[in-house]
Amino acid sequence: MGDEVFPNRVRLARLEKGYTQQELADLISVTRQTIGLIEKGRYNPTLSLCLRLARALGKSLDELFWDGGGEGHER
Amino acid sequence: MKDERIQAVVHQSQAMGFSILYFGMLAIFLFRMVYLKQSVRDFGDFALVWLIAGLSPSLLTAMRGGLDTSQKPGRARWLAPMFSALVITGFQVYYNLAEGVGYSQAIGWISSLLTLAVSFVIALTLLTLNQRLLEFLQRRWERHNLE
Repeated sequence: MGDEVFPNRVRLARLEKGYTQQELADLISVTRQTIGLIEKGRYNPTLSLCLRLARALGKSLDELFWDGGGEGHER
Repeated sequence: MKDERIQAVVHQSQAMGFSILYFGMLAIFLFRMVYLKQSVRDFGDFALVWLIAGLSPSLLTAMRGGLDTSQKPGRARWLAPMFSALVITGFQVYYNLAEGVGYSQAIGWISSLLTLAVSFVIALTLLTLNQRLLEFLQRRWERHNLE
């Protein structure tokens, strides 16, 4: 893993919902720092955590994490 | 709260702490044996705990199905026991010289060559047995979890 970046749309989805990082973190029982790292693509969450995030944000895994086959990465 | 990232960070830190403890104790043992001329019997209890602690990560890994079976041992199968045998023979040469057993006579060379050969065979046997044990534990985990 190391410096690998995992682009995703968690930040956009969170802002759409109007949550702060702390509120989202409390919803899915993780720390605010973990949410911050996921949004920056610097932490690769487990599938279990991805599912909790998707449920909390009302999105599918595709909408949050699918990178479109390597094109149009969103940060 | 069970944050998986926090747990991973804690585990990594604990692993680092374990490495410091493991190699620190190894350094202390070597210091005691080489510099203070102590026998292993003088610190056998610590050495035993150190040995068990050193073996436990690989055993626990295999018992939990974490053994990487995709990699073949290759040259490591011979290099690791040869390295161990060279280190042991190095100690023996050191003690021989310290005890006044010179290498101008055949007995010095014969004893060192014997040490090299015997320690290589013992190290190779132990490593092979260890590998077989790990594979057995991994297969047992597979039977319980994948079949």
